This record gives sequence, structure tokens and C-alpha cells, in this order.
Amino acid sequence: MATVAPSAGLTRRRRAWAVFIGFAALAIGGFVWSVSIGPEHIGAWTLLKGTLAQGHDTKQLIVHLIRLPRALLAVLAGGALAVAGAMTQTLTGNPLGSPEILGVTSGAALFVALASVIVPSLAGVDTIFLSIAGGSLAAVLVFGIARFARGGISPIRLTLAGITISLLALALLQGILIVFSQDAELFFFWLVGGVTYASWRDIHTVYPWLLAGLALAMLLARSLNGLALGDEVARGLGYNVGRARWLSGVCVVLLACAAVGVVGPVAFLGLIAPHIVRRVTGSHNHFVVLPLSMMAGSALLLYADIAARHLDRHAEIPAGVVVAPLGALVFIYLARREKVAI
Amino acid sequence: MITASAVTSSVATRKHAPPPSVRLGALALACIAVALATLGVGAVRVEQPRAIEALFGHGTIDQVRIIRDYELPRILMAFLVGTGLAVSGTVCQSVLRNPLAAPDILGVVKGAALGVVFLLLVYPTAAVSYLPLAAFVGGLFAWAVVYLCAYRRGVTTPARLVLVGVAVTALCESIIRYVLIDQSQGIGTALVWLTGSLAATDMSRVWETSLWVAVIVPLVVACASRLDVIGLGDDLAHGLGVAVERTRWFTLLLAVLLASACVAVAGSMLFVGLIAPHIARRFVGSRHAVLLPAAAAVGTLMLLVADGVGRGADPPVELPAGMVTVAIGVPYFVYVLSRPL
Amino acid sequence: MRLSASDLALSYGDLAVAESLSIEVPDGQISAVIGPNGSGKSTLLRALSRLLKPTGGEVILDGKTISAYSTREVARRLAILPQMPLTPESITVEELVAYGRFARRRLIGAMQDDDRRAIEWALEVTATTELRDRSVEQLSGGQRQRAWIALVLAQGTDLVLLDEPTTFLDIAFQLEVLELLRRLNEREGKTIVMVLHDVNAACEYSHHLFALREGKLIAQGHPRDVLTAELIRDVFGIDAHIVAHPSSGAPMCVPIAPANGGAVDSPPIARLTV
Repeated sequence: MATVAPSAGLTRRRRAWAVFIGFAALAIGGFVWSVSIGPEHIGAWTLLKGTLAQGHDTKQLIVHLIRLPRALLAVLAGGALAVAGAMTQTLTGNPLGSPEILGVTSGAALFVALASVIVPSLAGVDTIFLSIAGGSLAAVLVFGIARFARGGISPIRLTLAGITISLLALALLQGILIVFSQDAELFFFWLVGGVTYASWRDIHTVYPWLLAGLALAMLLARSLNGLALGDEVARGLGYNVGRARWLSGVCVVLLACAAVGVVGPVAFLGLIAPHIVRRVTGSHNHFVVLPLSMMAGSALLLYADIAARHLDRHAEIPAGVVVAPLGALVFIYLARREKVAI
Repeated sequence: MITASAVTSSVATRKHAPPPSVRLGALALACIAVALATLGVGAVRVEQPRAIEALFGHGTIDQVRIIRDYELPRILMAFLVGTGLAVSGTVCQSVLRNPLAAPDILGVVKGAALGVVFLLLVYPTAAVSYLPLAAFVGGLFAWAVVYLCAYRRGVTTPARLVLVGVAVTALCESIIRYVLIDQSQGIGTALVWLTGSLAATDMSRVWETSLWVAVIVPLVVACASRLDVIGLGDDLAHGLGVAVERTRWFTLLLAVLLASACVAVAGSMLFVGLIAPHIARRFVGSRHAVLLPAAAAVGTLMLLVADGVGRGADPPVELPAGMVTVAIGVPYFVYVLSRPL
Repeated sequence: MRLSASDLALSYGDLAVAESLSIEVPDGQISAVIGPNGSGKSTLLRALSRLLKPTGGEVILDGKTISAYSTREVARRLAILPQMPLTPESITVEELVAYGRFARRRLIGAMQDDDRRAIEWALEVTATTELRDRSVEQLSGGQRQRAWIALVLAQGTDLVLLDEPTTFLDIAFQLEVLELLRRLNEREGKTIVMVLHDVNAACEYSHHLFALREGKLIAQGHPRDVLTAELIRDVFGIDAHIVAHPSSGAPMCVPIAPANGGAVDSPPIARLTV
């Protein structure tokens, strides 16, 4: 990376902290807002009580059993997807990378759908396992396909391979839905992605994986900085490129699939958050980008959910409805501006 | 065009191998052979050679009806859609200079699906005959959006087209899902319709489609040499006299028109547009004058086989051809991956 | 002069590369464009071949502004070989060279006799005749470069522009290509303009030098007249001895040290990744 004078580094660090605090404030604000809105009007004191304990009061129960998990899940899943997105972008050298582009989320969704259809009582940890299995398979296929044209993995090739696998997974998914059509509506709901029916069970299922993934991501931060310089330079500097890549891939699958397992394949979340972070802080240092992306992702999903809830007071609309179009627009904007080599 | 693995020199150094025109002829013959072979396969089995006889009107009334009114349109449609998708795919891969490109990624297929979904949303009782029109319009509209978004400073680069296509595809997909959440009825119909299938065909639709294909495909073939030259890179193509942006715009438009029409009548047949050009290239080389017809033949073969298998695998259940093409596509990819780079 | 540029202003997006650049390409000679990285050499060539639209000034080809011609017409008068062209899959050398006839062939129709003759000639002159049935991907670096040159020669133009035709080749291949270009000029009378990194190769093989720095023409003329230690210092910022080539007597530049004893003025190190 370019060397900068010490004073510039200090301002940058200060900036990073400021942004971190800003995003954290946003996330906290979003959390509070999310918990406080809903069909039932609930006073502040009850909100507080409901957050802390289950209690017996109906309103408190609503807060504790419905709203709180929803907000909490948004924080966890949003953060996980954002970190996965940031890592994907570095791994693939593609500023437009995200787990969806790698087909990971579609693969995960396919396996989960497949399993729930075959074994309807499936729940909890097994869903996560399946999700990870599906996502891993998709990732392997995507990287394999992207390599099959001689000339190495390029961002475009990876994107195309990813979209091919995604389309494939979605087609298979559709086929399954045709055959087992009774749960189609529920599936479509889930496919859009959102925290609408979040429960404590979901949170208990997912949080160990997410925490593990996030910890792994932070441990890999230094290696990711190295990878960002390009394979040869990184190797020359002493980084174990192969291992870093592999571990990062595992981490991405872990984070993305665990999130998808409970929240559904929310499109483009992993794309937007890291970009916002990079643009606002001007930093490409993963020690900065990863935690900040997590904050940004959490905030994003929280606010998207809030927005979705406001869209239609009478129907439940999943957060993905807001994130996906936003993400697509950001994607298009970036595609027009960025120079991505073929 | 970026070099692909696995293409051996055997095609290039073909001094002593049969020339491309002969190979092309072989492919055409194969198409006819497979078409005849799958005739009579299905829920009601009609044995050969009675099936062929029924084609000409000999045999029981039932047999003739099945063969002529039911299977013949499907087979003819396989020819048309296979040709359309394969030619469309070839153009995409050449113009976008990427072996993984296909009309699906330009947003066409999802746009078409979106068109259908919207139609059903606004007119839930719309006649089935309007669905193809909606699909067609949807596909074109999506393409227009993609092109406009990718257009910058007088140029659309292949990279940008691909990326914007991906975004628009995802956007359409999310809108479709959202709409389907809201509308519980009609999901079933929409879903079935979106999967690729040659089932709902009759001769009138065959005629309409063949008109379309007969007009557009020759236009594409006329651009064959331009497509060849574009593969050398924008700069060199310009230097050799090809108006690159205009060619790109025009040929991609033709590709989208073809793909939209095919999706409109047959739903989404994944992989045909992606794989057929590859197989064809392995057979006859990269020159578009022979590649385009060869790809058409391969696409036809793929659909004939897929439809035949779909009909005959487990009668009376009919698997949609679109699912069979997926089943063919995955092993193909695996096979390609297992070859040494 | 068939090809000239007057008062060109060139830019990529917001980045201005050159302002008021004027050159005249001498007919029937080999001209070389030299200069440091970022001086606008390739940009100039692209503007001359209509690959880049100038934001000011004009390029004049055969008496008309180059933008007044259609792409096809330009291709009939001028050929350009850009850097790093893409190799199509499974295509033979002969098929590749045949593409060069695009601008002269009708839309539909078989190859005419002059097409075939042009292709034969191009293959012969670049010594790629015996490679004609080989796949382009399988050729060595020097062979492939000759195939590309055969491609642009098949266009049948008298003006040939080449952007760094020797940059990725080893010494032997470099000589091969440069000798070929010299033959084309001496025997066929082609006007050649090439961007070269290697100043000595430029001096040895060209009749006319254009020395650029930061988008400005610092000097032009016959290498013997133009190549001086001051020029090298002005253009490249280094100190050098100028000696005579032992065989041909052409001037050669032997670098000694950076002129300011330290910081050589070069473009900033590129930003890494996103």
C-alpha cells in the first residue's frame, strides 16, 4: 500500500474511529427504533423491561419474543453478510463481489429448501449444516467453472460463473417448488430474505457460527491485507497465499451460509456495506474495513427491515424487498464507474 | 476471445480431418435422426416405424393425431427454440468475449419472467395466448435497461454489459419474488410457465416462431465476419474496419430478440444458450460462418433429447425439458472441470 | 504527408494526456515515437488511428479529417496493431490473417482473388507461410507477433501503425520483428509509425524520431540529428552517453545515472485494489 506521512495516518485513524462511532450509533438507533415500532403501541418503559426480561405482561412478551429477536437477528445477520461481502471482494479482486455473486447464497438456499421439503420437521442446527453444505458446493463449482477458461480467474469470469450457478440453483429450487407446491408462498417469502419471523431459536442456532466466523475474519485481517496486494507481491512478502485464500473462503461460506440459513438469501447486502465503508473512510485496511462493515451491515438490515415494515402496515414484507433494489442500483452505479478488467 | 482450455489443436490443424462443412452436415443429419427417434415417445407410446407412417397420415386416427398434433409441433419447436437459443448464446459469447456469457445473464430471461408475472398480476384472467407477448416485451424491456445503464461515453464495454446484466437479473428476480408473495393465487401457473417446457405448443405457434427465427437468424449469420473480427479486441477490430459499438448493439439486440421469443414460447431453458456454442466450437472451430449453424444444430439436439427424455423417462409423467437441460448441463460442467487445464 | 495531426488535445476521461500536439508523419519512412511512461505515446497512436477521439484539434488523413471517414474507409488506408490483442480460440494462422481483408470484402460472398493474393503475400513477407495451418494459440511469442503483423498487412494499406510491437519479446524476436518492418519499408515502401520503449532500437531502425514527454513534442527528426545527451536528459531525466552503433553508426544511448542524482520524475505508484 502507498506509504503516507505520519500525520496523514493519524487523521485517517481518527476518521476510522469517527466512522465506527457513527455507524455504531446508527446501529444502536436502528435497534431501538426497530424494537419500538409495530402494530401494537408499546411504551418506553415496557420496551426496556421487555428487552431485559421475558416477564408476564403481554406487551413485554411481544417485545421480548417478537421484536427483540427480530432486531437482534438483523444485527447479527446483517453484520455477518457484510463481513462476508468485504472478504469476497478482496478474495476475488472484484470490487463488485458479494456472496450472491459467488453463488454461495443460492446454493445455501437450495439445500435448505430441498431439506425442508424432504424433512419438514428439520430445524435448528441441521439447517445451518445444510446451508453451509449447499454454499460450499456452490463456491467450489463457481471457482471451478471460473478457472476452466484458461487465463486464470478474473472478476468477470467469477461473476459469470457465480450467476450461472445461481440461476441453476434457482431453477432447481423452482422445480422443487412446483413438485411440492404446498409451501410455495412461504418459500418465496423466505427467498426474498428478511428477519420477519425471527425467533430466539434462530438466534441460538446461529450465533455461535456467526461469532466464530467473525472471529476468524478478524484473525485473517492481516492476510487479507496481503492478498489485496496481488498474489505474487503477497507471496514475495512472505504471506501464505494459498492458505489465506482457503481459510478466507471457508470464513465467507461460514458467515454467509449461517446467515442465509436463518434469514434467507438477502441479495446485495454483502455488496453495499463494505463499499460504503471504503468510500467513507478511504481505508482498505481490513482491520478497519471488517469491523466497520459489520456495523454498517447491521445498521443496513435494521433500517431495511424498518422501511419494509412501513411499506405496508397490514402485510409483513421482508427486508430483502428493500435491500435488493437498493443493492441492484448501487451495483449498476458501481459497474458504470469502476474499471473492472475482463 | 479469451482462450479456453481443452480446445485441442485437432480442430485447428485439420488439414486431413473432414472439413467443417462436412461436420456441419453430419450434425444436421444427427438432428433429423434424433427427431425421428423421439417421435412416438411419450405417455402414449407409438412404435416405430408406425410413428413415421403416422406422420404421413397412415395408421389409426389416434396415432395420427398424437404424432401430428401433439408431437410434431413439439419437435419442430425444439428445432426453432434450440436454434434460437444457441445462436443467441453464440452471439453473446462472442460479443461479450466470454465463454460463460449467455442471454440469461443479460437480464432477458428474468425480464421475460417479470413480464409474465406482471401480466398475471394486472389481468389475473389473461388468456394464455397473451403470455408470450408479455414475456417478449419483458425481455426486451430488461435488455433496454441493461444497455442504457451500461452505456457510457458512447461505448458499452463487455464488462459493463455483463455486470449490469447481472444486476438487472437480480433486480427482476427480487421483484418477481415480492410480487409472488403478495399474490398467492396464480403462483402455481406462473411457476409452471416459467420452467422451460415444449409442452404447450401447437402448429400456429410453430408458424409464428418460425417466422421470427427465419428473419432474425439470417441477419445474425450476415454479421458472421464482424463477429469473428470483434473477437480480436475492440481496438484491433476497429483498426480492421469494424464499427465495434454499432455491431455490438445490433448483434446483441438480435440475440435478445431471439432469446426473448424463445422464452416467450418455451419458458426458460437454462444452459442451452450457454453450452451449445461450446460444443459446436469444439466440433467446427471458431469461424462464425460455420459456428452459428453448428451451434443451432447442437441446440436443437439438446432440446430434442431433453424433450424426448422428458416425455419418455417415466410415462405418463412428463418432465419439462427445461429441467432435463439442467440435468445435462451440470454433468457437462463437471466433465469440463475434470479435464486438465 | 498522408497522415498528420494538428493541435491535438487528448484525454482519457478527466485525465489530460496532451494539449496542442502537432506532428506530421513522413511518407515512406519508418518513424518511431519514444518517451517515458505516461508521455502520451500510445495515446497519440490511438488518436492517429481513430481509436481515440481527440478533445481538440484534428487528425488529417489523405487531406480530410479522419473522423469524416467511415471506419471501413479508414481501415482501407491505415492499419494499426494495438498492444496485446486477444487471441481467439481454435483459429489457424491463415484464418487469422484472412480477417485482415474485412474492410475490403463485400458483406456476403466468397473470397476474391485479390483477397487470396493479399493473404498469401502477407504470410510470405512475414515468413509465416509454413505456419498457416497451425493454431495461433500454439505459436511462440515471436511467431505470434509475426502472425499479428501478417494480419494487419493483409489489410493492404500503405500506412501501418504499431503500438509497442516488441515490448514483450526477447532480443531475438525483437530483432526478427524490427527487421521485418525494415524490409516492409524498404521493399514495399510502407510508411510505418511505431511506439517503442527501446530508444536504441528506435534509433537503429527508424528514419524519423518523435520524442514525447508529458504530452508535448520535445524534438523530432533523424535520430542522428536528434539523439543527444540533452534530449535524453530532457525527455527521460537521466544522464547518458551517446555512442555510435559499432556496425551501423546509428546513435546509441548508454544510461549513466538519474539526472538529479536521486528522485527520477515518474508517475506515482498506482493505487492497489479497491
